[in-house]
Amino acid sequence: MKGQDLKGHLDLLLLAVVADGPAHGYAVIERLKRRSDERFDLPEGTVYPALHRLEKAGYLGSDWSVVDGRRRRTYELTAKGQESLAERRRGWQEFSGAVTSVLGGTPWTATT
Amino acid sequence: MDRHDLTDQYVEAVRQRLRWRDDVGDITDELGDHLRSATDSLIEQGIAPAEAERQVLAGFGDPAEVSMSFVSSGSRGLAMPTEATRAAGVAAIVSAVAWCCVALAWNGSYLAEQANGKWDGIPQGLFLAATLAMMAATATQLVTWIGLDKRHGGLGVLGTAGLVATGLGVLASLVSWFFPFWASILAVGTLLLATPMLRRGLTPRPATALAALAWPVGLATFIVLRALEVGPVDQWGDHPVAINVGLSVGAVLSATSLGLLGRWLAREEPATVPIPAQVA
Repeated sequence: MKGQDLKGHLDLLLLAVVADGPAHGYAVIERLKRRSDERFDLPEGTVYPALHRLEKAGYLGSDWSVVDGRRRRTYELTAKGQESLAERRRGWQEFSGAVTSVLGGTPWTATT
Repeated sequence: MDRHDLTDQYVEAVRQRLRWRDDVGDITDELGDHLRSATDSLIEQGIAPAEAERQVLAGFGDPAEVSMSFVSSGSRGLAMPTEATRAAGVAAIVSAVAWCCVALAWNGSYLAEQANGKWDGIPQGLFLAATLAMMAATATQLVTWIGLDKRHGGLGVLGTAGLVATGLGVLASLVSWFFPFWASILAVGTLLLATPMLRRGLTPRPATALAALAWPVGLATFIVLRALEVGPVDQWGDHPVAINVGLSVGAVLSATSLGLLGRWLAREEPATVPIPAQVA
């Protein structure tokens, strides 16, 4: 699945993986890959602006530390982020359920 | 070759593209940490350092694309220096010189008339020069403000209103020689434009504040001198000393602020620099 296909869903996915616990950007992306069975193929560098956007919106908080002589930023979900994640989850479930229903009712065999 | 040579080049390419941002150090530190952590992880899995680095950079995405994704998400649009904003800086410097010419030619016209005792020949020539200089000054000033609006990635409703008012001020200066009329419109325009600029703090604050105050101060000078009835009253019932001094104060303050803003704009390197071939 290409990055373009994830457009509009990336924020939900990032909130969901950060909800597992505080993580730096690299770990967030690794979690995203692992939990999607490597299905999501997006340029990793473009995840960071999304993380920054979520932080700016108050859904994520971040702290800096030094690891192996390098500055590292670690993200964690805020209370506002938890609320947003719960709301987005509900929205996604409704949406995906509706899409599944529609696709399930389509007479695929008659048109192919 | 060091195991992170290409990574360093990649991070530098991003830094160059985003160097006008205050948080560029945080961004490059974060990206650098990711790239080096990912490379080290692959090396630990037995992949050769050069190949590990190549794979990580390929997966991270084109540095131009990554840089632009930061631009669109974190800086209110394209708030970056470009060739156009740089050109606006040159326009500002031209405008500064033109405003000085306006003040000189305008006053020269009046003084020549006083010395000659008639309104033709040199006084008319200098007045024509002042008019032409005014057209150049106001038009290039408008270009400067448009450039400053672009440099900020847009200045919002206030900025748009300021641009419209400044445009009207430019038109008014072409159809009316009565300085308080067009200067009032320019004053409103510059105040509207300078307010969001001062809030964002991107441009040099003293120059921006001076630009906002130039015409209000010029008008205030005119009003005070007019109220005190300084100097003679001319054949049209105007007070030329009040007009000349007020216009000169506004023009010189405008010239100073435009010169400073122009120098700042024109010196900025456009953010669209080429990406090194190795990492492009």
